[in-house]
Amino acid sequence: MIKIRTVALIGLSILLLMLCVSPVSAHKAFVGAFLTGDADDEVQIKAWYEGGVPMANAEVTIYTVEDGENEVYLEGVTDELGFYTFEPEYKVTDYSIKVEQTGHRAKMDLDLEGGVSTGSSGDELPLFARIIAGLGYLVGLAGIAMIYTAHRMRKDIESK
Amino acid sequence: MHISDGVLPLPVIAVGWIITIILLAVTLRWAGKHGDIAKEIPKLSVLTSAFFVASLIHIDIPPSSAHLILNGVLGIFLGPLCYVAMFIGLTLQALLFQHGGLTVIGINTLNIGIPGLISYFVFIAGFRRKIPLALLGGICCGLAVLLTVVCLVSVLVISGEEFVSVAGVLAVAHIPIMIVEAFIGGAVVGYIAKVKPELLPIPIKGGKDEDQN
Repeated sequence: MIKIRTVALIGLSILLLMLCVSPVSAHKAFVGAFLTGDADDEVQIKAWYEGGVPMANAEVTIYTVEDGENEVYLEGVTDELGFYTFEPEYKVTDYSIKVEQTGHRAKMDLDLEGGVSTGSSGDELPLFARIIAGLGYLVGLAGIAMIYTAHRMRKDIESK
Repeated sequence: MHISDGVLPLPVIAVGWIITIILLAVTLRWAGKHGDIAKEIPKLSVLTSAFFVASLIHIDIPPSSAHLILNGVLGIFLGPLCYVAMFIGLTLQALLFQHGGLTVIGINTLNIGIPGLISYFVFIAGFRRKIPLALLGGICCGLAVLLTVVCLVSVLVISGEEFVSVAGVLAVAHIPIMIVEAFIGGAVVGYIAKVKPELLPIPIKGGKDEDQN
């Protein structure tokens, strides 16, 4: 019979292997845009997951934004590397770009005049800091729960 | 697998929240009646942390990528409290990792929590049938992932025609996760059964003596 220890070692090594082999990353989806020329030339967008994996064959929907209204302009699919190019509509400079795949979604607003794109940007804490933050919240919640139960126990004792 | 904001229609999101809130209340009451929640807090925190971090470990098979869920492990070790643990874990993941979304925490907890609860029941039933613990742990964890996929696929299919192909891709992407989690579950349960069997939700017969193989 297979010993427990062997199974445990296999399980642990699988876990460690996965940590090494697949880059540990959260799963946010991002999309960014690059202008190949000026406001009349093609625009190229790239969609990727946090960690660098491209969103290949993902659904792209491009909306033109006129007077605050979004209208579907183009629908397409990203290529193997997560890229998609499109020609802007004549004289329209504001777009909203959405890329979706298996329940993940990335959105960005593109202003051709500004030349700079705003989007689901990555200016947040680095990943490990966010992990520590999450663990901190959990410790905090546990602490509060324990204070509460200690308080309840003391009240029980006092009322006896 | 976490669904993101804005993907699901409003009725599905609403139902997800309603069921989650009901289940949170039910499982909390049930846990309170059957044991001391205060004593479970350390275990709850450790396992919620593991769950929280588990979503960062993924197995990438293009075009989709899937991550570890660990709902089986949480179900076995926490019992009814696993639902609360997963709810907290999912909220933190949505807030800190933008993993999933805030509006869909209800439905995501449902998809992951119910298989966790089922895994707990299967574990207890299997123990009564004297199935060796490590094997039972593996079965429960693999089953939990399988059920999670089933729930996910159902939710996506209910949400609309356009999701059917996505659902298929998701299901296939989770097969390696099922296998890996079965191993992890088996290993963890087997190890704990030898070292600290009080953590398992079953009446232990003396601790470290028998080899449960």
